[in-house]
Amino acid sequence: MIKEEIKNFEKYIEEPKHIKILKIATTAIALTLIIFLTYNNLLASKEIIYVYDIGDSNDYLSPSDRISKKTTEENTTYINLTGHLVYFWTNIPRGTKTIEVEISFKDNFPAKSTFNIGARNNQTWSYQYNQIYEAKEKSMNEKKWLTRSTKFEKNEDSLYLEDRKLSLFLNAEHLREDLIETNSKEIPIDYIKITAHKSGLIERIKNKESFIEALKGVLS
Amino acid sequence: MEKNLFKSHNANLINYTFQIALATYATLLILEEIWKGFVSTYINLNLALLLITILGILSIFSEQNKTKKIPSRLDYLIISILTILGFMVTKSKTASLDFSLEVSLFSSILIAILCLIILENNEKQN
Repeated sequence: MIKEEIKNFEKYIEEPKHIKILKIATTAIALTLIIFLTYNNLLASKEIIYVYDIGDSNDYLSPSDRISKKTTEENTTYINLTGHLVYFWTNIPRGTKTIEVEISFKDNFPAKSTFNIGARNNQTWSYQYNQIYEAKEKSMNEKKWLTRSTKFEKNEDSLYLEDRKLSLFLNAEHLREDLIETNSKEIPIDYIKITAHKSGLIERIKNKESFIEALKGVLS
Repeated sequence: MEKNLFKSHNANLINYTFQIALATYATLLILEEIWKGFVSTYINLNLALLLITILGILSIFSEQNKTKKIPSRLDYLIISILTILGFMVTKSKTASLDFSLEVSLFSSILIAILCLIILENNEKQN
């Protein structure tokens, strides 16, 4: 009789199945999260895309005296570059090998002027820059929205990151203050798309990097 | 009189979930501190904190497990690991300071003392 009562009591205090399952599920979620982060940060090779809708916010480009206020035209909201050397910051994930910068702008360039994008490659505000557009004598694209892109190699171009952020500049040389004839030709910017090509541990080892080198690479 | 919203097995489940969530959050926070962007590129830690706060509030209103354990060697091992980990994290975060070593030593001693006080209190309650 007492034994039976003890058995019943044990059954009563024993954890029900659904509680056990929920506890296992909770632990599994936590473990999955850590495995997901480890896989994505260390093992996987992937492309991470950041799209900055420049017309959406005045905070993306600086200094503020070299950009205009937002303007909307035919469903496109944009900001004009009013001075040369306008800066822009973007996040760069760990393990990134190549950074592709795509920019949408309106062709309002005077003849023979150029448009460059630079990426910071030194602590002392030094930049590696690539030309993305050159306006010809008679442009076919005048007042048209154009998309151009350029690539930077993180190691080969010795890009300098500050708090995992890279500083880029947009340089329309004709907007320099002293070029009175051309500096009124503002350049409208719609968006900037950054694609970071991240190379994981598996790909690096396949490319004959030693394990230590590959690990340093994915964590840098 | 103690009023608990959750009792018995439900309370046990909520307490367990809160502990797991808190431990996971602490791990992610340390990873983010050591390698910036390791977590925040994929997960919003502020949202995770909100979830933990909600679980913590629920846990406060849940019946607590009254059975206490006698401290074992494992407890002291965990304290040692936490102390060393605390030292390493503080050292890496204060590397640029002149008093980096002193600050790291002080914070790790503080972690060890706090852990030992908690452990001692549990013993006394038994």
